[in-house]
Amino acid sequence: MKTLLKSLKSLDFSKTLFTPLDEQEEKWIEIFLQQSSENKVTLLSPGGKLQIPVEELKLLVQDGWITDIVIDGYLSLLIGESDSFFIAGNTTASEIRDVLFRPHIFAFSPFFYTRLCGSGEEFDFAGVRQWTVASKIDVLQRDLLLFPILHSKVHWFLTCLDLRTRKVLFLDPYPGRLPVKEVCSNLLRWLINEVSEKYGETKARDLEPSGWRIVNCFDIPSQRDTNNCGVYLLLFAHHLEQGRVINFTQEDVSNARKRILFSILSSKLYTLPDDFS
Amino acid sequence: MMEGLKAEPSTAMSGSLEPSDESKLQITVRDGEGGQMTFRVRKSTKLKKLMSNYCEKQGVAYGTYRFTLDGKRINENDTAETLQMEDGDCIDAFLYQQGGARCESE
Repeated sequence: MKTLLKSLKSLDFSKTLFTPLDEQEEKWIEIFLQQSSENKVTLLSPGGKLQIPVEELKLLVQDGWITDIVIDGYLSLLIGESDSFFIAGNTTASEIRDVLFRPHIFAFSPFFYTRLCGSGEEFDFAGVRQWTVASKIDVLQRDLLLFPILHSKVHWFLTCLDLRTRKVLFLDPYPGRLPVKEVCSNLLRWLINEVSEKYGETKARDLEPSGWRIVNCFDIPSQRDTNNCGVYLLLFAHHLEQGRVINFTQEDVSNARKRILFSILSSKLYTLPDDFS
Repeated sequence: MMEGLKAEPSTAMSGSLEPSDESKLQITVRDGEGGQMTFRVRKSTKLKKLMSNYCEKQGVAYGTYRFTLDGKRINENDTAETLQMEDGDCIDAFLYQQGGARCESE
């Protein structure tokens, strides 16, 4: 594994996430698949170290179903990218944030919604009260809050609170069948609880749920297969983080699977292709 | 579930433990379904031990549950000390989540 990670240092991250792999890159995928599944890979992210089992990373390039830790791993790279754009010395970005299309994001773990709403049980704010504290997240300082959620133990989708426009975006890789209203109102209820507790009642009243609009995004790529929703979720998140129109094809998805693996192994992100190329 | 953060230790488990051992912390692991289990953990012991014990007691393979402290994932090499845990703290155990399919249900 160490030898492989060393040679991956020569990966070219100026390529796009959807660029087809060249011969050398395909070879590295082959070598990766030969690594022991017992191994773990350490991902360095702003939230700390994340140890991802090789067994679960293999699923990425074997067209498998994606697991929570792979979702967390990739989202943490996106948070890091967003933080470094807005925080690390980029004062211009912070100053003109309100006119940039690019949002400052934070993404929660899939377990956040599980903890908040359990298995169809009642709403449990206390269960997640400490989560933003432990991650040192000031929700009112972010533009977009992303929530990956697993439905019925089989299907990933993404929900997003846009604090700039007061929209709840619902991004489902296979739209039309999920309890959109229920999920969105639970997340809004959480936001109001969170703000009321950490910033006071006045701020919370400012965020009245009636002032929000639920936008169920139908005009985005949707899966035609039975295994890719987790990858779609990551691609939606990546486009949102970059403030880009969400646009990709099924072929892009299979290239992205392999490049997402390279990203996680190297703790680096690829670029997205230009919107009009 | 409702009482939230400071869960009481389950009496069945705490009976067999020595309360005099002050170098150990009492840590409760709770699952999403209202169940909880209490462990006494030495501050310097890697939490991998607690996590694998928990999976064993649940009768599932190691790795089936993911463990978080206030939403942050616990790594195998973490200890109660490195995570600055205190006596009575709670850990959440979540069943691993995996998805890929389209969702056909309403």
